[in-house]
Amino acid sequence: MWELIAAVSGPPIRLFVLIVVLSAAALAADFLVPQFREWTRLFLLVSAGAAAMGPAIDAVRMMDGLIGKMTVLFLGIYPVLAAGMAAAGGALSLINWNPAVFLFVQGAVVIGGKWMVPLLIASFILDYLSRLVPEIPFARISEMIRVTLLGAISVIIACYSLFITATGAMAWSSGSALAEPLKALLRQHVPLVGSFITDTMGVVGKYSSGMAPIAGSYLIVALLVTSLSPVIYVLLTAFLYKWIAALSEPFAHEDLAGLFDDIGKTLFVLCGIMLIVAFAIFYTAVLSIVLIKVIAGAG
Amino acid sequence: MWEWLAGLVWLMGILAVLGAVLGADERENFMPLMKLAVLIYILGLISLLPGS
Repeated sequence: MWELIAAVSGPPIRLFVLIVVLSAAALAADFLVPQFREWTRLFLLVSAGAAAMGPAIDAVRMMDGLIGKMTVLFLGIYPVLAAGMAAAGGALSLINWNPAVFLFVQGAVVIGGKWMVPLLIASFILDYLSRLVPEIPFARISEMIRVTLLGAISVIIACYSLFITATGAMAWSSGSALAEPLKALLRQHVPLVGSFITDTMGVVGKYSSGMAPIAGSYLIVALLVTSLSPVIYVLLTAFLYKWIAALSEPFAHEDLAGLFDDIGKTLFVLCGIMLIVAFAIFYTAVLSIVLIKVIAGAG
Repeated sequence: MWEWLAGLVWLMGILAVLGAVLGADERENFMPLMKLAVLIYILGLISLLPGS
């Protein structure tokens, strides 16, 4: 866990140091040669803006790579999994499994990769251009892109919940007394995607509590940690951008602080897309385990 | 979409440099012309749509 935090926080900390140095240079230049204030602002926005995009684009690239790998993996594994589960009738009676789920999971991941990630990159660029020439803003377009993506993510997560509730006999039984305050805390304090995180927690919780006797609690926990680690990575990066915006606001150019804030907001949306992929990984892994268990039991 | 976005980045970059060259007061006067350039570019996006 500490390795993950160190890996995530390294680039934003370096970025913050760079922002401090560039802002100090810009402030000194503004004081010494005030007639070149416009040029100083432009150079600051171009240099700091280009540096600021680095960790954010890295997070998007990681997401894009993950989706590409998952799409190929799912295409390979789902026909085998579907055929195996249909052949082993015990699996169907065990979890009231619906074959349409595979199509839905694959579709959700493909939509994430083909549409959501490019739109998110467009949102980054439009936010940057709005800060570069404030008189010609694209802020509403990028906000619209974010809202549209959040809507699509909420629909997909709601569909996941529907599939589990409609087809599964799973019940959330473990630790609800602990989970409810935690969910309320997340919903209120994680901007934009807090409710998605709690919804996903609920759905995964329903599933995993039913699966734990079959697959084993440790395995379920390991699967959860593995599938959710990209989400945690993006969430931490988003919070770090928000922190950089807050810390640099008193001394840096206001457009720069605003840009970091916007990048943070967009990364929270990326976190929502990550949740869809995380859920797909978890779901596929659990179904594979069930199939293997059923075949082993039958054999 | 990427070509269009790259073109927009170039256009906005040129406008930002032009704005810095003109200075705050002159930029105010030239802003309608700059917005017109962006309008024409956005119309170009609409012409890219199928059926237009």
